[in-house]
Amino acid sequence: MSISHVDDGQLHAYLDGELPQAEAWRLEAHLGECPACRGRLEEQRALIARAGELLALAAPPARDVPPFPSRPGDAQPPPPARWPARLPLAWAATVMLALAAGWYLRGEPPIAPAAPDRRAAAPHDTARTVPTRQAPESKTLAQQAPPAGRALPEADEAARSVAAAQRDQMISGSAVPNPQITPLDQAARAKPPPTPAAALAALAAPAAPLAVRWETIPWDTARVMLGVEPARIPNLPAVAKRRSAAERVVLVEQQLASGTVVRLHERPAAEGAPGMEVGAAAVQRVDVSERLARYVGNLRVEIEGALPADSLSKLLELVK
Amino acid sequence: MPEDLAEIYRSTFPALVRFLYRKVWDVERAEDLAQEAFARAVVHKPESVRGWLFVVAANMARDDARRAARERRHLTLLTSEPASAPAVDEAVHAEAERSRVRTALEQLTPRDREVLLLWDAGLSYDEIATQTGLARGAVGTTLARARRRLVEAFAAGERDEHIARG
Repeated sequence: MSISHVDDGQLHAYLDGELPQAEAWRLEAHLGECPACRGRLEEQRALIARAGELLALAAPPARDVPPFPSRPGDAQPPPPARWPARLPLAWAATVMLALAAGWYLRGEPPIAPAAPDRRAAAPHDTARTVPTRQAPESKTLAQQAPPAGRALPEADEAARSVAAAQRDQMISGSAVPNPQITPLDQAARAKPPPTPAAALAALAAPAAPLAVRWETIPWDTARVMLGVEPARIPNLPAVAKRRSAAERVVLVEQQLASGTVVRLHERPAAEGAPGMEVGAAAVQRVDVSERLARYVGNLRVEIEGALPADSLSKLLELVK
Repeated sequence: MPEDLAEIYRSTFPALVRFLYRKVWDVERAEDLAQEAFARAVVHKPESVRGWLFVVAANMARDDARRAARERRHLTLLTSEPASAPAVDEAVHAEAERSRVRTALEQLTPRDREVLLLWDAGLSYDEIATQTGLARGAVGTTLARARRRLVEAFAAGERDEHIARG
């Protein structure tokens, strides 16, 4: 070593602190007696520094380390999740369109809320064609990273128990006979509901996060409360609810797709639109990107949940 | 989650993001991939976690880079917040520099680039050797070449730009 010069690789390893001890000693011995190699050492030191500077120019911006990921798949959100505002806004416009259609159609005889074939066709087809979506319940379990891929068994189970608890609250006092079916069952497996009542339960459960307890009421009751046919998106299953017999606000819930619920708050026309006090607490609890509220006439409209891209065309078809 | 893995996460995540960033050129995407790599580590429980993470991350980046870079660049442009004029100037300048470095990096051979990025992300020569299949003694030589080419390519890029501007 003291005779042969050192090569660049050794100099870099030495400067990187990666040359084994014995080699480092030999190299230092050589440098001690070889000005040429000392010069090269300094050149390489400058080169390393310069390369480091350049790489630093191309370093990612400093950011906080996100929470530890819970399981594979959690960390790769579908692209729209990054861009929370735009898609729901486009959606809101579309839902308005659908509502406008329903608004004008409501002089016609109502479509019975329990029309199982229709119900199975619209929202559940959508769920099937968008298998990567999960219901909002499971989303809260993987907060930092919205879900992608399949519904994972643990999240599935946890969300199911949450949904079950919520549903238990909901159905106390209302007539929902089939406690086996939860929305997540349907979202994850996308099977048509076995009974109309089960489908109603699926629609009822997403309302549970509302701070105020809403009880499901027969469609006829809602019609009597308002004096007119309650507004709704045509051809989608709908569930009517109220908070109390005293308060004349009807909530119509319609599920566009798994995890996506449209809520319409309506008062008798003479009393104007239900104000922000209706469900305001719930709005605060949910990320604005997941719930939008708009007013149409005397209606307050809320849209909650992820909005799968192809549901748009589904909805438009329904409106036609 | 195993305790030691959580510790490795804290210490290695930024390095993994740094490594991935030079491949996908989008910090959010890099973070996503880094998180995904850790999430897989939870499942697979590899023996040498750090090295394994970089192997997996490199593979994911390779699969992902082209498509993701295209999509993300678009979204980044659309979602970036309006800034004051000096901040914009600074950002534009930084972006131009970043883009020059990126161009320079792309002129390295894949192996030289990989070794350089792994070193810059904090891997040791031993870890780099294991990951790339190089002999340990060749890591220094490869790094020496990669650094020289990076610096030269960057300087050449600057010269070309000056000529182009007149």
